[in-house]
Amino acid sequence: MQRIIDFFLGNKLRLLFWFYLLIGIGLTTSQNLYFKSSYLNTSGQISGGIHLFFSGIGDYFSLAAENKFLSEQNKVLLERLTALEKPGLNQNPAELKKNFEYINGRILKNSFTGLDNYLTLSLGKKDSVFTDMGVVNEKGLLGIIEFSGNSFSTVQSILHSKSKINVKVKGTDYFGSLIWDGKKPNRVQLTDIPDLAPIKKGDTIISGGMSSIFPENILVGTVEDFELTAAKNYYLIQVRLFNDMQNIGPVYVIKNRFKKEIKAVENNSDE
Amino acid sequence: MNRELPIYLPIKVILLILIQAFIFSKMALFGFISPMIYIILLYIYPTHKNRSLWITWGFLFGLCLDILLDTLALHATVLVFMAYLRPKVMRVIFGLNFEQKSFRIQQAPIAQRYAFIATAVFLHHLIYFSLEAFSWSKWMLVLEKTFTTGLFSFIFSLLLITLLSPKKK
Repeated sequence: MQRIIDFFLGNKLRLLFWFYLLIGIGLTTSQNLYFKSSYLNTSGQISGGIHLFFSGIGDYFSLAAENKFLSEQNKVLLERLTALEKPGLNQNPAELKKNFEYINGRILKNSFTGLDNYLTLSLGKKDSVFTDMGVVNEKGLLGIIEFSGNSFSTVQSILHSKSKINVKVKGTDYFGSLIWDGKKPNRVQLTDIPDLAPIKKGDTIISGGMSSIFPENILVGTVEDFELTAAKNYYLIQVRLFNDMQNIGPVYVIKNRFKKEIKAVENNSDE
Repeated sequence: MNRELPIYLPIKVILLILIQAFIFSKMALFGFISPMIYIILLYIYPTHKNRSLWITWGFLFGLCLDILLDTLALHATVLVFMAYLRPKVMRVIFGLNFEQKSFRIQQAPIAQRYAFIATAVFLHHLIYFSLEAFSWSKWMLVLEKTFTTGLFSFIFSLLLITLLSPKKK
């Protein structure tokens, strides 16, 4: 017994080091989604308030009001645009307008230099913002809500190693996945486009509309460079983002009114 | 005024967290470099204090940054590493002087101090980016980020230390 106690006392520092190290590595690399989401959610709620305070310091009264007015106006315009761009055959325009609803908010904390970047958004469940909703601004795609708390949400940026968004080449029906290699914050990669696709530099990449998260035709970026992958069947395309991820401005959360129905139909067809 | 008073340390530490989270982490030099200057905690924290307490402080300091920056526990883990490694690095750089109770990093020769900060920054960044990537296949990216970000962290750390250190009479 004495020896055990002596061992612990003698190696106190080393044991403490291993203790903290294991907690740290456990927290950092945990693959348990429930644990990760509750942890990030809690930390997001704490830091959200602090970020709100600091970002508030820079807002002058008149500017804030003006910004709000502009972003309200944009919201209306964006809703009308989506309704106009994809008129269905049997729907009347009044119903169409309701397919996608835009909720305007702002980014309190932005990051783009890590490998897994998250943004903190000023909206939460009380603004009816929930997990898996898309986030955009006027220039294009930003990311998808990963966790939503009561007043703040955490957005998984398109600059995240696990981000994978369905996009297509404008004017064609070739769909691919948008990923990020972690190098430059203004350049993302498009994969899974077959070598048959007529790609050229300067082509526009837009959202594909294959998921219930983003509507079709949201801007992403332009083709900067492309090459065939080692397997020679698919292109690896370098896409320059329209968005400046360092300077985001007002953002909009996209809410799909028929998401539940779409999910229900998908689940039924799986069974 | 005597800047060695114990009250100055917590103020400096809180300032460091705020400066890192709200200034340097929002910076993007050349579009992708955010210097990590909080590493100077290793420089300003007294060397003769209780070492278990020092590791605990390192962990808590890192966790505060992690909460502000949404980085899970990356900073906390790296700081625990660095807190544990600090005496070993110091023994290599400052030699036997470091064992004496009266030793202060701030009073060591300038070349040794710079060497200490450079080593600390390099080790810190290497561990940080390796943990962040957490895969062998990204080793090139890890090295690239270690050297580019490390260079700017080193420069800004030196500037901050000069700003924070007492004037010589």
